[in-house]
Amino acid sequence: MSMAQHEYPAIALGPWLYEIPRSARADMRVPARIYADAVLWQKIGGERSLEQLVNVATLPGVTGFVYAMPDVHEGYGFPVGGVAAMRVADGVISPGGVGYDINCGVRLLVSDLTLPAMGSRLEAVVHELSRSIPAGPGRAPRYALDDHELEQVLGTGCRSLVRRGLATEEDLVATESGGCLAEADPAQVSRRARDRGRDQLGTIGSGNHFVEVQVVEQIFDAGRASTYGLRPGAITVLIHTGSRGLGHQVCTDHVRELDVAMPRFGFSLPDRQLACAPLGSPEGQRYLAAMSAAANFAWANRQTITHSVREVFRRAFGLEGRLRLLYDVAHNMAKLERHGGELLCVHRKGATRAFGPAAPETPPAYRTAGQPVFIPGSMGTASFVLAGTDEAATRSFGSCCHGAGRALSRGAARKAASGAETRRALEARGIVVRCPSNVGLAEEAPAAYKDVERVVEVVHQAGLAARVARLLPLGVVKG
Amino acid sequence: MHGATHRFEESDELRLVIHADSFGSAVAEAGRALTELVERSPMAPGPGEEWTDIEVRARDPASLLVEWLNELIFRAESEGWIAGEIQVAECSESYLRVRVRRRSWPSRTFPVKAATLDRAWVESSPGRVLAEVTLDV
Repeated sequence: MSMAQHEYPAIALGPWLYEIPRSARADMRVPARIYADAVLWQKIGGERSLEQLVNVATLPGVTGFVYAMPDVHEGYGFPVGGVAAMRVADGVISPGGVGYDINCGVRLLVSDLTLPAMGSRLEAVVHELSRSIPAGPGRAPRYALDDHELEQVLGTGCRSLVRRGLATEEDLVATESGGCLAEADPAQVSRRARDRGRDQLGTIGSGNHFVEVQVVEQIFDAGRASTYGLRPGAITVLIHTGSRGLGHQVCTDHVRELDVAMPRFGFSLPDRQLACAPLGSPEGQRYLAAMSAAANFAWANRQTITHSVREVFRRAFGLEGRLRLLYDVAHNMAKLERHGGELLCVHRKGATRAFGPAAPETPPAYRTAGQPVFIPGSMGTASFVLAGTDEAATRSFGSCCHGAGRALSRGAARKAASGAETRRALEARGIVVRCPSNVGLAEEAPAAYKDVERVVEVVHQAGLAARVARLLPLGVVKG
Repeated sequence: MHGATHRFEESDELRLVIHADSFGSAVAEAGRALTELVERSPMAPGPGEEWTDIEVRARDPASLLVEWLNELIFRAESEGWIAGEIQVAECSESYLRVRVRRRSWPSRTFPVKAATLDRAWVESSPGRVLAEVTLDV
């Protein structure tokens, strides 16, 4: 196909992969690779995400390739759906490569309930979820943390919740990194960040964050589905949220610090939002420690919401309503990982870690299948369970997409359909919706997003993750 | 009558565009723009209360404007007030001291999460300042 629509020359390396060579711009240190089919490639050409990806390819210490996932779209500095790995020895860490919502991520809870058992209680269950879990940009005094408790959450993540009865040891095993990054240092989280986060534990937040009750509609890979304990007709709950105001403030604090420090480092960057520091510098280490603490807060947030969901299901269904955590995986993070024998800092912004069976980080229970990956669709469309592959380690530093990716701006989405229209359309399909804001509903309407089926198809065909199951929404609580 | 105007442009996020006759006017206008976003919400903020001084430092006008907006976002979320009247007391390219008359905002549900450095810029010529900041909403 013609590459003229894009600002940079690109080569089609196959039906699912394009490359912008290093020669495309003088300051690129590595080539850029984009996973997309022809249709998604056309859409990517219409915005700034490729220019942002090329900018990322200029960062000091970047190695291999920088990658864009098929759901890539414009972000702040670093594109959403972008992956870049920096050598620890001489590379940088960039808050822009993680994003404001540090450790935004997804977890999936699986029940023994089936659709008939849920039956007429669906609306009441979704209503109770909306009463139990604060949504929107609000707070949750129920789980407000004192200084000591907040320190524990920042330092040890989900583990701190086991003692409070909000998490189990099984939950920790089924959470990426056990729900705790060892690099965390609460002392590097500012007073401001703590003030913003201390009463936001157990809350969804706004934007595209949600809690969704779903049903397993289709199994694509019976073996892996069996390993994950997924069967057709089973009721599941998907939780998508992150580190709330605390993570935003950590990002704001450190972008500010690094922006001031940039002249001292002697880096010349094409975009200030890519402000970064050498990993070995005090500034880089401070950000890594604060980001890790914010990541721990995010895991604890999703775990606390899990506790609320479990309470609602227990009240509604008794023992039959037990919810097992299948897995929890982040899609906004910078992590120290070994690839090809070298220690790298892998930035994934709007990209999900997707490790295969051979990776030591994959939980023992999933060693035959690969690490579970969850791709939420837009509100009202299907979500997917995938499995990480060993091939992804060499194709994308063990990463895949994180969602459908926006196709319309929020303003354009509001013009396309009102919140009331979106609500009626979802309810007409039998989907129960609880959302405090009609504006928020309009901005997150299905038409505002790319086709998640197409995004997942590219990921599957490119070998970044294997498709396991499709989940259909039954009810959604949105921020 | 202010010596400044603003408008919002919506892409994936929200872009604030300011035309002003001085950088100080642009700073005040940016604060008023944030308050306007709150006033669009169903819950009206309270009346004007006491005055507060805010100081901000940064390395250039663009980052100073971003810092100023982030300061207001933080105060709204953590202290529960937004800016009513705004008086710029001191203003250089790297320092601001602003007097702000608080309006209570008990819901603390601020519609903007952060001001970013993404394509943030300030262009000044005699009697004319153009500024743009992207807001994470």
